[in-house]
Amino acid sequence: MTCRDIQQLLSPYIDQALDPSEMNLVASHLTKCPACRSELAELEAVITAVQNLPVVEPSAEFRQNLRKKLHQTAGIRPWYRQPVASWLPLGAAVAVLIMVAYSLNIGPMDKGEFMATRQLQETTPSADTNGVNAAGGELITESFTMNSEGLGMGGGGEIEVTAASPAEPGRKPAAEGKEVSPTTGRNGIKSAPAMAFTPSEGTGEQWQNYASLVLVTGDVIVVQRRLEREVYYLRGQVVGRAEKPNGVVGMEIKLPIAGIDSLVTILQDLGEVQNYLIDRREVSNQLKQLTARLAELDEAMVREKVNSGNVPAATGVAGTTINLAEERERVNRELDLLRAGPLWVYLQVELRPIP
Amino acid sequence: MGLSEDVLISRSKQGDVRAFEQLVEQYDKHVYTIAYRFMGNHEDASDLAQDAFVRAFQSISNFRGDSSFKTWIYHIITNICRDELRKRKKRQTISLDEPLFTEEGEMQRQTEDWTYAPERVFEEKEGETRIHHIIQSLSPEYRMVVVMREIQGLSYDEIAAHLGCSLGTVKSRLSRARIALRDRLRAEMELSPALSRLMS
Repeated sequence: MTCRDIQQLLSPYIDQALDPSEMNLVASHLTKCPACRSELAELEAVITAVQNLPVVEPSAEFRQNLRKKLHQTAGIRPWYRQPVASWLPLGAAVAVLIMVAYSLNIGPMDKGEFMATRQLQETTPSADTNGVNAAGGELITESFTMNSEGLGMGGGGEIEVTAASPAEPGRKPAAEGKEVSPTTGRNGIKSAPAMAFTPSEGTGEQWQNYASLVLVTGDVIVVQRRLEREVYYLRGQVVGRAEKPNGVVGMEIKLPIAGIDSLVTILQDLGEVQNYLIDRREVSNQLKQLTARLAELDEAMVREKVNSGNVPAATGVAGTTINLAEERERVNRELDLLRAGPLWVYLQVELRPIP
Repeated sequence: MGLSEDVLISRSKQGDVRAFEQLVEQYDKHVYTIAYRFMGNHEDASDLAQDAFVRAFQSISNFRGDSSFKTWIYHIITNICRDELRKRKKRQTISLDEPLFTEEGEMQRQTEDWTYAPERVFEEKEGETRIHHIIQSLSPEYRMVVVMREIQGLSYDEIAAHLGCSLGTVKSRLSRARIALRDRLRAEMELSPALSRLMS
């Protein structure tokens, strides 16, 4: 056997994984060959160096996340997935905040407001003109005021709207018996739909889901980009951004409810989550009223068409038809938004640098 | 005094997550280290080690105790890392030290497979970190046998079972992997006094 042949056997020789005759052959060669002995010594040194690599200590974050995942697996819900009943104290606190805000005539719905709500308001016809009770709209307004106040998103910053319509064409509303598919997270872990946000089947209830939180983190810009990516992966949208003094960034996110667990877990990885608030508003009545209004408009449009006899658009009658069509479109958009509501969470995140 | 491992396993089987957490405490460092040596970075190690423990918790009712819990959890993390490396390998271009699979068996490429990146040459890192990086520079197939053998201390038979290959393949693959490691370490040692000290 040549030295080259022997050197091919040195690794199993070290592990004593050769058959006895080969072991003897190699041992015999080594006694006579200094070059192969040197090769053997080098290989043994390499093996020892690799074997002596130290045990690596996982981070505290690793242990926290693992604990969280184990608890989720065991069915122990984390604080943000507790049943609705446990939010009641939060709801009461929110209600007080809203009342205080209104009594002080605070409640601006300007730049800092939630984009989806603003859009809803813009498209909500007034009670005077179309007979729709504005109560549902008020509820949502209150919710936004809470979020806006809670996060201080109301002033100083400029919102950049990046998505025009929160309504998702082609999405079936939960009321029609369709459920949201579980979302697969970045690690391939499926997160079940968030229980706290899931509508009760068959109850006829419909609602909009809202959440807000503050994330205190090291590098706001890096975290903002990461968050935008994660939202995209979770099939959500960043619907608004606000740059504020002292490096604070506000983000408004529209997310399928199935993705909220994953996103909250990611946020907890990215920094310290504070002031987490969740809320939802029942919109069934508003839906009923808008549906009724839509039927009225359809009827009115048919009547107008019959009366006008297809006269040119420049006439007054045709103008009425156009007004009706515009209103119908508005009501339809609002209905889409409300129907899609249970499938989505509107989340405000304020990214604050570590003081 | 803490509960015995058998008691903790028994409670974990009944869904007691706190008992399972105590098992995790005993093995998380080693499981994490295995994942880190396989994957080469903390982010992947963290994700995969967490997956391993979650999977173990989900399937602990199937754990019969034929082997120790330690062997079982090491088996899980090894499989997870192996699958992940293979998945990634499919997406990657071929590594120069990748063995060639021919009708006559596995063969080493003849191309010179190690070049010095300037940043590596001038990096002033400790020897251990360098050795870790050199392990990571191996192709996934070589890296797997090195980690399984040197870090986990698995036998050739166990490695063959994990990789679904013959004993002969494990033997030759490990041999080539060690030679590749030695060559790379030798080259680095000429440039790094820290490594030389570690190897002496």
